[in-house]
Amino acid sequence: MFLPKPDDIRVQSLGARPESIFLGIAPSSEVDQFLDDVAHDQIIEWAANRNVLAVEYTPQDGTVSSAPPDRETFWAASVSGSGQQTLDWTIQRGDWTAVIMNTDGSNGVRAELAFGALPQSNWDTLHRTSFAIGLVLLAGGGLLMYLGLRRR
Amino acid sequence: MSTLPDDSKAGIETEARRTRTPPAPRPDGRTDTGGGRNSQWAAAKTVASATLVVFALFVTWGGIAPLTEPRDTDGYYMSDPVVVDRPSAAVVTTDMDLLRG
Repeated sequence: MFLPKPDDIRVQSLGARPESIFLGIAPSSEVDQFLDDVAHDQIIEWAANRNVLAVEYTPQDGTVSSAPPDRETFWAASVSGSGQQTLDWTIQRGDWTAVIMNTDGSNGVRAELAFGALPQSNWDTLHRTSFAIGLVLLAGGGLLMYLGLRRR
Repeated sequence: MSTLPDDSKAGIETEARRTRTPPAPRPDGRTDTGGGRNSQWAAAKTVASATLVVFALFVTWGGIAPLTEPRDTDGYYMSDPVVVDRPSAAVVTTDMDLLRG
């Protein structure tokens, strides 16, 4: 569905994994510095195929281990823990990066994720108005057509 | 101000009608009564009404469709779940347009 720029986005870690997962959003420059020389994967494409969302990655090699991400202070928004985790973030200007890691920074990231967007507050009003205008036009057009065909 | 009596005006109008050029005879010998033009106008109105109905259907559907999409309890439109399973220490993305403010 086409959605104009929303107010907020949501990243949700689903499932009941015992491992603790970290979700964070930070300025891209800070994340680049944090993961410098740390092996990580960059998502380059999201593609929906038969209602299944597929992801393509570009691996980035590295030689050092990552520090636990929740010790850093540059995150604009972050959550961590086991089980379902929900990260909400109000969109801001600039270039941002979303990060998924194990809370201890260890290798092997496995998570079931869902992404969401909260539409702008006038979204519902706009569509209800459009719906009402459509109904009026539909009634008017239908009446004109009926009258036109009846006079033939 | 005109001083012509009413009868004279009527006479002028009658004269004008009398001198109007009659419609040219059609090749098939029938008289053209202007009915073709009327039916064309009626057809054009019907087509315009049908176009309005189709446009109205688009506007109605455009209004109602987003409101019927499933949302979570907080009003978020959520994607289908996707499994991320990588051997590295982190998975990052800047690809979502949403992240570019």
